[in-house]
Amino acid sequence: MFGEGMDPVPFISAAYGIAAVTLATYAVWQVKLRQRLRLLEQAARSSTKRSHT
Amino acid sequence: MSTAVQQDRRNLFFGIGSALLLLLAWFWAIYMAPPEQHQGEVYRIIYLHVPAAFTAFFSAALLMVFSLITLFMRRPSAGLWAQATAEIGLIYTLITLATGSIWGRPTWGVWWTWDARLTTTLILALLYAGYLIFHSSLAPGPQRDRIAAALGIIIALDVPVIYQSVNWWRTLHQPQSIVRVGGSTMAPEMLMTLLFGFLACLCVAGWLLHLRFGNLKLQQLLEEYSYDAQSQGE
Repeated sequence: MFGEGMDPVPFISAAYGIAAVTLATYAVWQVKLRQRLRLLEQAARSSTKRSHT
Repeated sequence: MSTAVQQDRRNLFFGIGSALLLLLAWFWAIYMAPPEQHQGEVYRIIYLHVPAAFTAFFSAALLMVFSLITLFMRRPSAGLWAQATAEIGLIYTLITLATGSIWGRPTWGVWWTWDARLTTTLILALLYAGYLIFHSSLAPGPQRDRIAAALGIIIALDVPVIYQSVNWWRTLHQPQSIVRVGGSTMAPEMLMTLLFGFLACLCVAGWLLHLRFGNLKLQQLLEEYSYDAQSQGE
């Protein structure tokens, strides 16, 4: 088989590293987006209430 | 504490739990699973590559379900679920392609080859990306939802082609060894590691899907507030 005697560690760490970074980046982006959207939602609700009163 | 904050906190705890489960599955795959007879240690990439591929295929199946609901039952939230599913599907397809390419270098001697399995998986990634570009470039409305739903069904049709590609064409990619007629050819301890990895992958995907859907719904709600404010100002 091709690659016999090749050090497998760089390949294994690159594969798992890419997956970890991709998933973590997307998750952090979505969690931060949720926080921002909640703040905007709160502001929109309070401004709607004010305009009705 | 408001219900929304409690809901977000619960969601975050589920996310942390899923991430820990995935880390445990990867630890098991890297340190505890036995090495393969021919490929040796580099075979451990299978415990990431195959669950990611199955999750990408599962996302396509889910996308088809949400697309059918959008087309025939006209539930507005199904369109949002479909969009969130396409994003998760794209992420897992890209992980599948990247890990497959990294695994290909020490085993085949190349990072990429225009093999049927690889090419059809690349088509899946392009279809997911096309779906998302299309979705973001059109104005919201029933017409966009209908066309997106049709595209969602086409994406799902690529999955059986990917699955059968190793049987239909001569490929460099190894034939089916896990889900096949006559049972899996994998050793039980390897199969257990793989199934655990798949379960962990699905948990993380489920959490990300739920999180993304919630964000899309909130964005839609804020757009409605903005339209209301504009119409009141006129």
